[in-house]
Amino acid sequence: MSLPTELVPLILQHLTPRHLLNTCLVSRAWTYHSLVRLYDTVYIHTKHQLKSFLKSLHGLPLTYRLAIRAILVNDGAFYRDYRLGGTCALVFGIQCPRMKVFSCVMPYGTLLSDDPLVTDWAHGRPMPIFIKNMFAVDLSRFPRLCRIGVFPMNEAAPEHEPIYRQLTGLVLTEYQLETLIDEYPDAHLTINAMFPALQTLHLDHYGNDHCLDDIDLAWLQHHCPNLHHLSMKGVTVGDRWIPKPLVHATVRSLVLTSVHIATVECFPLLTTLYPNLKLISLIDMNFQYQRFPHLMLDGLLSWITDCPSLTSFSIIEYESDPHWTMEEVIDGLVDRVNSGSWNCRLNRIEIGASRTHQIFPAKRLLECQPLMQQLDTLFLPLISSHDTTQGEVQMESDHCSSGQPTLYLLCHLAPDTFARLTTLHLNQERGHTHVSLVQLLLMCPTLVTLQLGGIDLHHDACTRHFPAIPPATFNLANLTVTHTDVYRADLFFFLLQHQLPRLSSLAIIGTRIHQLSLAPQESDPFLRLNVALRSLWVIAVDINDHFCFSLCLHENQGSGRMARYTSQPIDDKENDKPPIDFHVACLYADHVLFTHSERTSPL
Amino acid sequence: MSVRLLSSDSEDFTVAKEVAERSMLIKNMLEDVGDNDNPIPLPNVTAKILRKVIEWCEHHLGDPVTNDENERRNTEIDEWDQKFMEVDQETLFDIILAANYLDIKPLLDVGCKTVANMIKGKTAEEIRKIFNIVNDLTPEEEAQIRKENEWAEDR
Repeated sequence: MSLPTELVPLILQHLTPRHLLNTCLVSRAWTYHSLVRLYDTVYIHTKHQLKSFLKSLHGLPLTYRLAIRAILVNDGAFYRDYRLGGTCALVFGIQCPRMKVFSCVMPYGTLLSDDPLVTDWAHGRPMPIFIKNMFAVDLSRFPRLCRIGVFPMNEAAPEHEPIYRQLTGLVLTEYQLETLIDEYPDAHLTINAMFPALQTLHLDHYGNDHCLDDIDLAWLQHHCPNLHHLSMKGVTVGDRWIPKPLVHATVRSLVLTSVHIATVECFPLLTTLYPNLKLISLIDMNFQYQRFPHLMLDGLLSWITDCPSLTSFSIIEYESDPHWTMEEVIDGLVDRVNSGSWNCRLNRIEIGASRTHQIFPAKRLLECQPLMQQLDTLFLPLISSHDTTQGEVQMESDHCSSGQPTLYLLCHLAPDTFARLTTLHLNQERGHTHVSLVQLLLMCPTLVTLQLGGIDLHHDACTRHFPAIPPATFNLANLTVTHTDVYRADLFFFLLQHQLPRLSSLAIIGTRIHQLSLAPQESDPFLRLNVALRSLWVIAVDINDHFCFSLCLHENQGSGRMARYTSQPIDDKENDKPPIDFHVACLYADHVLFTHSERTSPL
Repeated sequence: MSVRLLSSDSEDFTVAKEVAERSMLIKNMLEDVGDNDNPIPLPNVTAKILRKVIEWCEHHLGDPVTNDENERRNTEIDEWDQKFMEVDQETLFDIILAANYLDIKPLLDVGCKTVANMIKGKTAEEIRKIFNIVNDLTPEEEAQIRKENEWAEDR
């Protein structure tokens, strides 16, 4: 029986670009429906792709240009070429009159985004709207725009009001906010909210030095009556803040990046202002200039623990050289859980640290059973091996003397510590801590998503703590390995091939794979998976000291024909290792991303 | 409380009202006509397919209804649905058509995802073969399409 024509567009909705490029060649009717779908949301990964898209736009039939609803560009595509951003803004404005969403995103970020379009692109990984790009978009060229993830060019102007009213997501510089407030000064005299639909707002200082005061916050509260996600970067909060009952009840997540909180009195005001926060994220917060750091710490801790609906907490330090630091915040939170003074409902904790960090006291956090047992998501930085010379840490390593490479700090934990954990990220910026993949999977029986970064990945579990024979299969569906050395790769490949029947997303990035034996008749490494993959990322991978110059994908649901992925021309000096092809077989793959080197990597 | 449904081949089905109301079409009809004993005629659905559809609606009775299109698109087909959809191609298409006509969005999604998964990893020629499609594109048109959309190639 033939497929009824009216079903074709309904079915194509569920296909990703790489499949749509096949379906568009089936027949005329299929071409139309496939391309309308393909152009609905345009995903651009690399600079090469961006340039080629800009070129194609000119000749593209109007039908398909009118179909473009969203353009998402990987921030990496603008690397060292920010004029390209301006060109894009101009060309998209002329060629894509129905565009509703324009955003620069970084598929490899760590911030939480509730944005379905964006998370879809990142294959389920949360990531931020990225605001590094210093190019701007002329709003009047995009009459239908609803969401914008780069700065609008103009200062506040009355002719933009219709666009403001339809926006659901917006990035503003603090200066732009100021001009808006100057233009429409008194919240109480203006009857209509200016941004009635706005759900996500990012405020960025962009070189200006200004303080958000009570007038600004009251303005936001009045003009953004549906705001859910508020993120601020580089601003000062509360220098001039006269306490008054101001409540912005719709705000559920607050992300503060390098925000300067002026006085300790600000914290109780934040508690009143945002009573319904589910997420607090603190990134590179810097309190070091305060005269009373411990008063500030207490204020901060009270703010966090007084949020009745808080379920997600992130604290990340990438850049700062902290005086009092996240260690003290985490310690303080653990103290409050242990003393029973905080009825903690967190199910997600994200801790991130950069290489400037010497020690991170994961031990107390991990041993805090009431807290750990309710988590479903944990991001944890590992201490670098450099620091293992320190007394306490050394003792921990001695604790487990089974002779196997042991998993740092985790061996001695109570067996049900990670009973509910579904997502775990373990990252290390430098040093090489031994981590056993099987042991992790044994410790986290419900784990679905695992990301490992900067570690030495081994296989066997510690025989002293895990004497039983491991189960034949695990639930893990999403595995990301970055900047890691994988040892005894035969066992790693065996696990991928035979013990992860639910595997649907695999990313191997900047990673060296060692000790992989090749089948006698094969000269290239071959990973044979018997699953359908939602995503496959292979970026800058070495196998047995050969660099993977191309990825050969065999999709067995089709004829099993090979699709070869090679990245842009390589610089000979870049890599002195001999090249090989890396073969991967699976039923089919929805998204594939390959580059041979991180220098040309879109990440 | 139950509702009577009449298939195109005149078979009379009696089902619980909340099961029938998984279909927005039937729900709206019931709201329009109010309570009465007459069977609702469904001229586009045969008894064989209606039986399958009712089975699906009964199994998914307690499911939360989501209107978020992205969420619906991104959820994977669960194991029960996978088994449910293991039918011959004609029945599969008929179920999708019925779900479309009866306006049962989650069933429509599961059906369409099942067909979409059959397409993945296949060439245009292989797709034409499974669905009996005649290629009406000229080689020139084909070349033009390839060229226009080359930017989207991921390799």
